[in-house]
Amino acid sequence: MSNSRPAPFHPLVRELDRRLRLTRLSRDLAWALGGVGLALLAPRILGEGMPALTAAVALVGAGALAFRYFRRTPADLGRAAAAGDRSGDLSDELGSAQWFSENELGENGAGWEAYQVARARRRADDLEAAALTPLTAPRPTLYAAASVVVLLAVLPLVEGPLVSDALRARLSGSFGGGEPAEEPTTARDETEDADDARTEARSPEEVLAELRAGELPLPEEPGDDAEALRAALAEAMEERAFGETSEEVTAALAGLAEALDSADGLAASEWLDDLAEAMRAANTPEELRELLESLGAGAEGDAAAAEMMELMESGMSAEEAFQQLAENMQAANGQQGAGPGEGDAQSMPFPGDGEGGGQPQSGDGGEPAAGMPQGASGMSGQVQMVSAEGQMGAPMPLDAGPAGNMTGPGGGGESEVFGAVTSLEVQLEMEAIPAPLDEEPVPEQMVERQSRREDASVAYDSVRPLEEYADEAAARSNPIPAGLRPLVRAYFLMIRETATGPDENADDAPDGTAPGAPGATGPGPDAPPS
Amino acid sequence: MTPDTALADPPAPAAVSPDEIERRTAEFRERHDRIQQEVGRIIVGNREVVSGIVTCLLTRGHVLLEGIPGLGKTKIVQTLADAMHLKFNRIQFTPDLMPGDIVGTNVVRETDTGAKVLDFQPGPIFCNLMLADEVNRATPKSQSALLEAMQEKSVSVGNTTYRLEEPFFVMATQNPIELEGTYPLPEAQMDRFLMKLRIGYPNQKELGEIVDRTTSVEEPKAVAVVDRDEVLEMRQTVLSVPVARPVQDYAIRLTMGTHPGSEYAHTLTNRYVKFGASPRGTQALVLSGKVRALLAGRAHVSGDDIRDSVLPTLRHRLLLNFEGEADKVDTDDILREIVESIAPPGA
Repeated sequence: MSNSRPAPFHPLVRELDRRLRLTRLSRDLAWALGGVGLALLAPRILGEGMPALTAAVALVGAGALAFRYFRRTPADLGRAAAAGDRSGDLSDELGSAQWFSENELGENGAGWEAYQVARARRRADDLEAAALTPLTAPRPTLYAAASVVVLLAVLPLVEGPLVSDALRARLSGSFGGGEPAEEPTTARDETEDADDARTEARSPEEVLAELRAGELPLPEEPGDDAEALRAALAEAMEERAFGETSEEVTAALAGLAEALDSADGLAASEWLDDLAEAMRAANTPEELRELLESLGAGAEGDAAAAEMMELMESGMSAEEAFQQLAENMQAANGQQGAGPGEGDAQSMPFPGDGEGGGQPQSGDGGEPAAGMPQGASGMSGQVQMVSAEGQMGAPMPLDAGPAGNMTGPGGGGESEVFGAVTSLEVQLEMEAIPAPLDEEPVPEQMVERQSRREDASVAYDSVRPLEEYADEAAARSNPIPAGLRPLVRAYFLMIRETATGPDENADDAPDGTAPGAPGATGPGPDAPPS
Repeated sequence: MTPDTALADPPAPAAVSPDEIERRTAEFRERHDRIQQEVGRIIVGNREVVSGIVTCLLTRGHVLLEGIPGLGKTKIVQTLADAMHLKFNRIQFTPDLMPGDIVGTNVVRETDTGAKVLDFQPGPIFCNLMLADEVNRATPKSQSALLEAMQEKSVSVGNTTYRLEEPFFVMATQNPIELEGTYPLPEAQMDRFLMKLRIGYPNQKELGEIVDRTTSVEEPKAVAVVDRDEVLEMRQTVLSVPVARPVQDYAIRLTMGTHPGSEYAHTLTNRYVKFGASPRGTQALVLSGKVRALLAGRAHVSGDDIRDSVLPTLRHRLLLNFEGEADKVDTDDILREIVESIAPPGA
């Protein structure tokens, strides 16, 4: 076979080859057009210009298509002839003739190959290439390509990006190879997180400056009261110019605001103590009053501010007023739940594992609270135990509330502190069986018991030596047929030695029972000799 | 018969004119139709079997007929021999058949002068058409004597080799049942047969025709419609048919499809076939395709000719492995799957 491109034995083969190329080109073009169109559409949807890389890929693809169309191989004509054979049901006549022609087997005009080529030429004269290989392209690819062309024509008429900025930013991040989000979040969440990060990264003075300039609006949602309060406190602190103690006061006021917002009276009392310490510096009662007024929002704040003002109007200094307010709040907490007697007022967290292992700890003395049972079952979570100095915790009443919901030793779970209801989550609540409707519920009907202990038993048979089982089986089996049993019995009775004495009558038992057998009157063979 | 009677190989095909080619192809089809028509007077149905037998005869091959008793295997062969005016012999293979009973033996003969000389008495194998009936009942020793003659077209007795007269064509039959006391042909010897044809039951119409023909007073007899020279010329015509390389590659791919682990092996091949078809299988495919091309009036072999020849030419060349034997896999099923999986020429 020559390396040069062979010549077709008939023009029909060349035409078939051309039509096959066109068909293949149309199919490839449809796919390529779809791909290139999508590559062009993507940046257009994002509102960006066509990247140079996309244009380069499109050019390279077009070049590849052109190369694929114009490239010729020696096997092309044979493939085209075979395609014509298949579509025309010609039994490989064209393909064989093309191969014979390519290999110059019928050049001399004689021989079977030349005869076959001549026959194939005559046959090819009667054939039409359009009938053998019609130009076709898959409809779906044509439709897809047409759609892409229409989109490319329409999109320049639309101004601006077709997607939102957030989605565009996300798409750009995704296209840029950034780490994908670990969990789905909305763009709003991400924006808020970014704002929080900016706020936390700056100093309070910067935040205040932005507040004054109106660049940082206060949140308006009810859930952000603590943040608003903190901002208001910071602004008030700035205006009053607390000086060197401003940071400590700021922290104490912020903690106080959070405690009030969460209706945590114990924490509020602690923050008040801290605030009192921080306010030892020169502060005027007027400043504190204004501060408290600016602080007062909500029932808790109003009550605390009112009490504070009363104390200061009674002649106490601000420091003493804060101290007294803190003691009052702690005393109120101590009445709600009995606290351990000794030690300063402080918080003593201890881990409660719910298994009775949480030993109550006191502040200094280490004495357990009187009302706190040892290893109280049902205590779980983290329980804060606060005791006021000199006040011994009272015994926990039986109906003080469900265990595990205590804010202090022996404290009821739903005791009021500053008029608010505690919001600790109720866990491991005792199961209560409601009394019948026609009866008043009595405490005895409260079921409180540990898990019962029961004994399980499994039936079993004692294992004995195998010989015993064999003996039992042998005793149960009776190899003597039923019809022969009287005869056998008679035989053994006959051959048995005649006994003398009292046993003689036993052999002649009227019911035929053997000696020793159940029901026999005389002793059996195992009976001791008389 | 002496060694001098051996025939020379046929001359190589010379370049012929298109008219000569057309004449040969026309005569080929006309003679083949004559044979078919004459055999069809005696044999009801089984046209494919008759065509296959003729194909084997015209491609210098041998044929193995397989079918249960009573389906007319022997009758077909006898009728074919009568229709072709060739010397016909029949050997009934039995376990006590000796090689000498097939190829002949030297006998002591006394001359006119009283001297005693060994004289070769040719056996029944010295013929043009030989029917080896129930070939699997003879011992391997006797089978080998026949199969050597099939392959070499010659027999050796003592120190002398005798060429067999062309055309030499063996038609062997074997019974797929009653295998007790038989000696199945080894795979190597099965490979010597160009085709293995299976004879099936006649249908209702054919069965009625058989009864009509064979239960009347006059039973039809075949007459010779083709002589030896015509058969030899037909053989030469078959060999002259050219095969394009793509078609030949198709036959090669089909053969390789029977080879376990080959590039074109089918899944069933890898699973059930122990040994695939030998190169003789490819030769049989191409030769059989040539006959089919001539019978179709073409001067070239097509992929369809090759594909239609796969079953009769390759079914007896596949040796199943243990799993195939245990699953009772039919080689025809494997070959059909292979044909479906191999792309035709030019695809």
